[in-house]
Amino acid sequence: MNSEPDNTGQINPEPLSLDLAFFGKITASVTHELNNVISIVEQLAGLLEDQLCGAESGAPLDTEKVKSVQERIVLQTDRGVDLLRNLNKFAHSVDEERRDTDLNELAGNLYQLSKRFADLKNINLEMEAAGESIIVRTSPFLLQQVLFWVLMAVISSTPSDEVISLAVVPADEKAGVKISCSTPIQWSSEAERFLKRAKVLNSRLEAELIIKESNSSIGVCEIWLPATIIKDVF
Amino acid sequence: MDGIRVLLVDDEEEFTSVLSERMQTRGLIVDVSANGQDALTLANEETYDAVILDLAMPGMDGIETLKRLVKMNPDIQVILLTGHATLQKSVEAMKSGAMEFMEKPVKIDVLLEKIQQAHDKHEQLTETRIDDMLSDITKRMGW
Repeated sequence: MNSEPDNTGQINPEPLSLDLAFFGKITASVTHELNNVISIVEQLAGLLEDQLCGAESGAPLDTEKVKSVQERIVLQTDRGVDLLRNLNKFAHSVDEERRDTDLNELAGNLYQLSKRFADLKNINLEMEAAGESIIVRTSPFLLQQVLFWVLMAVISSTPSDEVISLAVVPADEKAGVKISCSTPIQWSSEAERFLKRAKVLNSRLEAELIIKESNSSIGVCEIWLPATIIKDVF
Repeated sequence: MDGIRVLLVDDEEEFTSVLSERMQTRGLIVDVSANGQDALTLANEETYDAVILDLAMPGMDGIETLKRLVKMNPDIQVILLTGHATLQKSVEAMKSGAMEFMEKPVKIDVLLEKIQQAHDKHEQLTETRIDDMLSDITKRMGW
């Protein structure tokens, strides 16, 4: 990954530990949610078993009930497939150091992977893709990391029941991801730690990272990169 | 298991919905809560033989809910039922007064066995507490 040996031949621990912290946080969150999906499917299968046991003991089989349980299983498997797809895309983000990346897709994937962190704080996380395709040549893994830590900083500083929006914004020959909040926020001490991580990582990404002072709500964090904007694709 | 009263606390509504249905089929009386705060309100109004509690929930987390439940009622029997938990979390839960720490997914028979144990322990603690109170009254009254 990004852990290049320094001139003493030692691996620089800071970027590596940041990369691992990011990987760990995402995979722990997604596998926790996948575990929930499996637990629900297991109980739904058990409910079907209960119905069949009842039928074997002479009770009439409630076909409507069986159909409804089957539909609930399908909903959960769809949820599981989405989670796995997002996790797989995330895992492949380290395949190449730099590549042409669709910013809408990258931000959308990060939104899916981060939503649970906002949910746990009763914060509503929203995503707004740009109405055109935006291609940036970058390290998708690094860009996701910078976005993730600034998003964690905003989540940790936002009160419950508020809304955080993640918007992909095109502008001339560059494009940005803008994080805004429904209320002015005060950076928490935890946020300062997350923002420090984002800044360290951004020095490797070389994007323009804008972090507003406390009491801002619109565009509290923005990250801008040179971009190719392809209009009228939708 | 007829009449055993259980409080199920988990923000995964589909999970609590299907699990409570299966428990009710087996004769248990089940109340459901999607967060720690509502669980505390319910536990304040009703006596439960067992509380099945998730760790990761929006707002008040499982450990904090557990601590408050135990403070409210030291006899309460809490079974933590969660996804992949760390050893550190499980130790913290047991130190905070949990009766049992279980990982999802769980077979209903295994969970019911733990609920039965919680019920028995709760009953035993209640009896001991009543005996202690009676003994205390007897002493005070000089009977």
